[in-house]
Amino acid sequence: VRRTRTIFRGHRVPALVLLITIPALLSALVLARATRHHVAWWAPARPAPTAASLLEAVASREVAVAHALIWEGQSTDVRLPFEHRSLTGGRRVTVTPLLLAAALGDENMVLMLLTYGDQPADRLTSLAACVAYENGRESIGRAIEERYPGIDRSCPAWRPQVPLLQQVAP
Amino acid sequence: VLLLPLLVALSLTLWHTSLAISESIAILEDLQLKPLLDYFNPSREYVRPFFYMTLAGIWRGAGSIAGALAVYKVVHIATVLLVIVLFVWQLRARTALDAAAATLAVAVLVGAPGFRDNLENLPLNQTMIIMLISLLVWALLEHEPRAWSGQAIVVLTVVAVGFKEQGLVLAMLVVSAWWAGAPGATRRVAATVAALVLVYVAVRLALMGSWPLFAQAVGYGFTTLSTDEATEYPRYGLYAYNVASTAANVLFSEPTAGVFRIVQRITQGGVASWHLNELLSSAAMTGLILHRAIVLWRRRDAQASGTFRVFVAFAVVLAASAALGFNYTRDRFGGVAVVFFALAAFHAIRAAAAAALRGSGLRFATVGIILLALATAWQIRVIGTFQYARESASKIRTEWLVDLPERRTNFAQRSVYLQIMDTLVPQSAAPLPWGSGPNPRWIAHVLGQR
Repeated sequence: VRRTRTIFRGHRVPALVLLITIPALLSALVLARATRHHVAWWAPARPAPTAASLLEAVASREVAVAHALIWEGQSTDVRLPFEHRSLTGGRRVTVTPLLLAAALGDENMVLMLLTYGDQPADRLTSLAACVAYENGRESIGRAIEERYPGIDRSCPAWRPQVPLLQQVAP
Repeated sequence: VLLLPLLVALSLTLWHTSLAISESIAILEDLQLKPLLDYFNPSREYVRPFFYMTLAGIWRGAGSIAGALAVYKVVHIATVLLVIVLFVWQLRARTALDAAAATLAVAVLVGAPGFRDNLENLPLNQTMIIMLISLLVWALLEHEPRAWSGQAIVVLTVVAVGFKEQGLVLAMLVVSAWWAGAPGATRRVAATVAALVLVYVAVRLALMGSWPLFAQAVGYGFTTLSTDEATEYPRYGLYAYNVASTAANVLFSEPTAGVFRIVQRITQGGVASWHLNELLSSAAMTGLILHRAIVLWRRRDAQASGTFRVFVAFAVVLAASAALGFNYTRDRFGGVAVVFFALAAFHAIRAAAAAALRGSGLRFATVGIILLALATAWQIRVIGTFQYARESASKIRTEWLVDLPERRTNFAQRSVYLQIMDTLVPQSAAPLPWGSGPNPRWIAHVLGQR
């Protein structure tokens, strides 16, 4: 016992040094990994973006993610089918990122899409303005109209409703 | 070696962080349109002539807007790195135990809210520059006087005040160092610095314009009061609250900007592990520092001790920093105090470790476990600072993506503003190399979310 105690006492300094520096070493490894891989250090690989990724980013209100996808060459003219007979009168309409963002009332997303997007001034853009006005989001509706002057802001009878648009998001 | 990943990680993150669209462009526009002498006007609410002179010097010397913006980033990153490196050099670790204590002290510096909040590139960051100057001044104060060191201390103090009035804490530092017997703090230096500061404060008060009672929103309890709402509260009571809040933020990481967000989460639900980690690790380190300060105070030779002077310096700088934040409080106000908090932490940790080596086996084991827990908690906070810097970069970028069209419309008549903003667009809107996705929940739980 005395011998063990002597050995233990002789190693107190390195033991204490290790106790204090092990967390520092682990922290340094985490930071080194984050720097080396240049990605979120908890997720070393990102999946390649798909056409639906943009709509997914819009649905989850991630403006920066949506913009990054556009930057990487993702077209904003992504269209997914949307159909609900009771609301669309049997029509098969499509949902676009702008329409989804307007329906969600996400003004930041709408502004970003209007600046960096490439959506044509078609009926779906009109529908986005219509949905915004219907939901009382005048600033969103005005922003769309300013970007696409002359679009028809009147709402068709079959206009889609917000909860269903949320469901259509991938 | 252990420091290198931190320095590289912070450098790269700050390099990829754009200037904020909300404030920085207006500052740079002012540089173009206003005469430099205007920044020396002592009746202004904020007097920061050296800060603006530095910005202007870089702006004119760089030759192009893009070049100037790159230099601003390099200078800011260099300031942050120098603060860390000078801090480590200041510790003068000679043994393995010193080096271990230094790793924890660096974590205390980098993980503190006062350091974290000053990572913001405004462009440059005045408080981070003052933190750097405070380390230089402290090194001179603790060194045997040389022919030039007295003048250097005076000049550095003046430069610090010229960058931001938070630099006034350095005058208190010099005077307290003289009182505590620091070798480089001669009576002449202390008297010169004190006289200069008294004259400066007298001129500022004499030429004071009509300043608002509260310059910015004031955190109070669990809420934030607008400047108008704040005027409905007892003025001096709110000033005292702000002073106490700045000091408490350094000591306990709570409140933040006057708001007791951690206490609110504990009492009303939704507490995350990072809340407890920040509160408890700060409180434990404060306790350790206080214990060491009391031990030194009780010794007869305390005032002659270089270690004791660190504790005196911390107390004085903390009090001065807190007092200067009387009008409103933010985490960044505690920046200089955090440097001395971390210096004091180094000495307290080293003393605790030394005591454990001499004590019984039980005492050694107990202190060892406490130090391991403290080191773990503060190293998590270091990663939290890194994560905070990345999230700040993402937030700034999102603001660029969202606010750009509106600003182009609102500032259509300001050609200089538009020119600077358009120059910044390519780098500010570019995706960040580490991606932009939301954090996993456990990350937010452990490290916090901006």
